[in-house]
Amino acid sequence: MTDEQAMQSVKAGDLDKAAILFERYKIRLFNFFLKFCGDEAQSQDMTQNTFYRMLKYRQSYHEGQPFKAWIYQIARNILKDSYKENQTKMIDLKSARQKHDTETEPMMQHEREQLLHNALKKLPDDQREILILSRFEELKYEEIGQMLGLSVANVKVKAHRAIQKLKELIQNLE
Amino acid sequence: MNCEEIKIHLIDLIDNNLPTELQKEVEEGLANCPDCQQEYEELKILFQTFQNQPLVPTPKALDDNFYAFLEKEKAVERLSKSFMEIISEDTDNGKVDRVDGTSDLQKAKTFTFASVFTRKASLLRIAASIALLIATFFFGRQSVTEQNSEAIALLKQEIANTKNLVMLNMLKQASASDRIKAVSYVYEMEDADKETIDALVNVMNYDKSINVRLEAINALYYFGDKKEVRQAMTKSLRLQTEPNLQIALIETLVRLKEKEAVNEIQKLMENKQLPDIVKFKAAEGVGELYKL
Repeated sequence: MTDEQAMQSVKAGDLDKAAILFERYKIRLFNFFLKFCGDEAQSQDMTQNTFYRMLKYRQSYHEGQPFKAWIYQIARNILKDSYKENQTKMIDLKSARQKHDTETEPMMQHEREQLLHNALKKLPDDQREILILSRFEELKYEEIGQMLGLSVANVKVKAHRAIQKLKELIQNLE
Repeated sequence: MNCEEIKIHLIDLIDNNLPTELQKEVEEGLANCPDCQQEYEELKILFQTFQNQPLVPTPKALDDNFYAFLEKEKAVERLSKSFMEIISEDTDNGKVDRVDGTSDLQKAKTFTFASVFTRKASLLRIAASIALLIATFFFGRQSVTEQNSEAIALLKQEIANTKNLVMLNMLKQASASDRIKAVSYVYEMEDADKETIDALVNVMNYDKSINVRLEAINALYYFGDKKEVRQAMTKSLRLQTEPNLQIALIETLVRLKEKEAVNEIQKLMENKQLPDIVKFKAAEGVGELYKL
């Protein structure tokens, strides 16, 4: 069963199908929020809210609409609301990751991640968002375009610019 | 292909996004230029760093909360489905009544009985309680035992409770007309619990449609004997910016003889930014309330 079929069933009143979507997306969305705020409790809240809204606003899902873009759109709105309330701030990757660091992880990789995170923090919001969506979440340019209301070409240009900018920032930090 | 051109395509090359022809060209150019190669390697490492970020597992509480919420939504969905059917039948009967006159009403009712009994399991309980009520009414009118009337009272209570729930759920509907329908349900209730009152107050203060808000004010009037209702209306005077709603609130509070609202109404009267009609209504209201 595709995501879209599952969501269509949910919309038609078969709410049990929501569990399929929850299981498929919970880890990705949780980590998506974690990338932005670095706080597990807050990310849990926001992930929960994303799925609550998925259920509450199930009637606003249109048949055939790509589910991934739709759910990330909801997630993005939740993130925006939380920015507005000024609760969410980019925090240091260090504190966010402390719990999950493993001894065996090569130091190089860790340093690179830290560098990447610090550079991301310095990017303007829209560029950071596009990179998180396209590179961390691995959404296709089409999907991001649907979410942000931009053409594929436009998303691509923005993403490429953001990557160049990010590279510059990393070089400066090094 | 020069370096400039190659560099433009590097990201697409890594993403496997290039048409075969172009991909070949870029790869060839890349092989001949150490500078471009370095750029290519750097980008690849950058992208890998993105991808290699370990995924943090979700806390168990997330599962628990989601599944609890899902169960609640399922219960509400089941209830409102059953009741929506009964409601729409009620409405249909009403239409038949108005359009075709009373002779056809009988036909419509027979039809309703038939369909009540052919419905699925989820509806059976509700249908059965209604059937029992009707049966008792027709066959046992003279000899309703105490036990029976107790059972009927219970059933009535159960139906009333369910209607409450359905109303609360219907208030979440997207269309204004559905929400008005939900609010007007209140007229069939004998009493409203705190949750219902809170929901109505919330609609009165925050619903995006003016008409729905107005309907909520009308509905709340029915519970005007409750102090918290009158207080909520008084408070709402500050929130409302639509003249229609301000006037409706003033009129309702005066009808309810809520003296404690005088100060708030007076504020409207003295607010220079408001339209004359509102100020006039406010002045009239203040006068009425002082007379009491």
